[in-house]
Amino acid sequence: MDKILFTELIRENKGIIFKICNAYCPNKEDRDDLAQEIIYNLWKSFAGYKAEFKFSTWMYRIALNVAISFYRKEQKKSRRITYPENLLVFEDDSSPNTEEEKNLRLLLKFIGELKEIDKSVILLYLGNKSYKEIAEITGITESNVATKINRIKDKLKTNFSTGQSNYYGTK
Amino acid sequence: MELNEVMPLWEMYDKKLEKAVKLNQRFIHLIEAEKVKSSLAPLFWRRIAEVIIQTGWMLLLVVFLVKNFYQAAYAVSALVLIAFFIVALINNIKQLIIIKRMDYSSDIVTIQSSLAMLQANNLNYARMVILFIPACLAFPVVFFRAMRDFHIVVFENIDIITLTGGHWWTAQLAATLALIPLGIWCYTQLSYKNIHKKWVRDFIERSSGRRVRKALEFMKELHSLKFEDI
Repeated sequence: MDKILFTELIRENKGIIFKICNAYCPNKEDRDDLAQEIIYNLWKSFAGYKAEFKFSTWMYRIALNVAISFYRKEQKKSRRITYPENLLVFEDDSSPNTEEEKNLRLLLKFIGELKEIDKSVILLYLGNKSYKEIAEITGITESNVATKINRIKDKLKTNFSTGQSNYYGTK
Repeated sequence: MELNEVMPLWEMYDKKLEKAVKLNQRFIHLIEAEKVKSSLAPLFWRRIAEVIIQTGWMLLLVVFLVKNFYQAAYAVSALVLIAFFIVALINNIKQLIIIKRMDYSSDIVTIQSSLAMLQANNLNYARMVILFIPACLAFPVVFFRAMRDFHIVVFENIDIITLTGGHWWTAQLAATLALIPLGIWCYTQLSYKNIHKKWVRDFIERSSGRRVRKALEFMKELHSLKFEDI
């Protein structure tokens, strides 16, 4: 029963895992290793999950903790199971055509370049978590969360203005 | 572009992922079926091995102490070394507790600080050696005496106390008095709280490696995020 519930919850929240792997793994080859490591740790801790908390909050804590540890490891390889297929498959090979898609690429690139804790803060913020929830998940004070988000906003503004001019060419 | 303007982009990304990301169900079943073993297990067993070795050395020193109990210079030197191993043992037991209590569902700052602390363990040994520099003369005294007690011929005629003609106490006292303030000062300075100081960073990198220096820098960042206004 637990296995069925767990698989279902992971299926529902696969986007969170994908976004975290994408943000913390500049190397595409390492992303599946990180996804495995995250799901493995979620499964290991699942018995201790209390239904009174939101699953996504609990999942964010574990997934971000695993991702930061993985990111800081010098030896990345941690593949638990060697399998000819990938755990997470992203079936979209279209090139960015619309302006929105190009901006999304710039945004993902920007997130990928942030420091490890800043990445967590912005992923949570974009995942519609309140400052209070971000503070609970990260362990940072609420006022520091606000300061960090403001700094990221400023950086984002600058990056987008320079990034867009590089992307489209200065007019 | 403002951060609130990227929200619709992120929603678009969410929708795209919902359709495009496929999860390999068979893989999840394999992960579930895998025997649950912590990734910190090798570190845990390394610490256990260290605890066993340190306890062994302590027992040998206790035997030495009992045997030389009424010869003050040897007894005091053995006590100093026992104290050294007690400090090392306490450090390892603390690390074992951290490993056992590690729960990834705790907040990020708590878990990452604990992991950084485990990573920085080499520095604890360097700090302990510095703290015990004032008592450095105790090491050769015990070593040569123990070799004599074991009747190892090469060391049969070497006894630091006899060789120094009774001046050992004076030398030990002078070294202790001169080096205690330096030892304590260095011990307190070599912490993540002082990682912004160049000499601390350089010393840590040379004595314990780049990985430890980076772990301490991260600890300082985490500490300020939790306890200070950035």
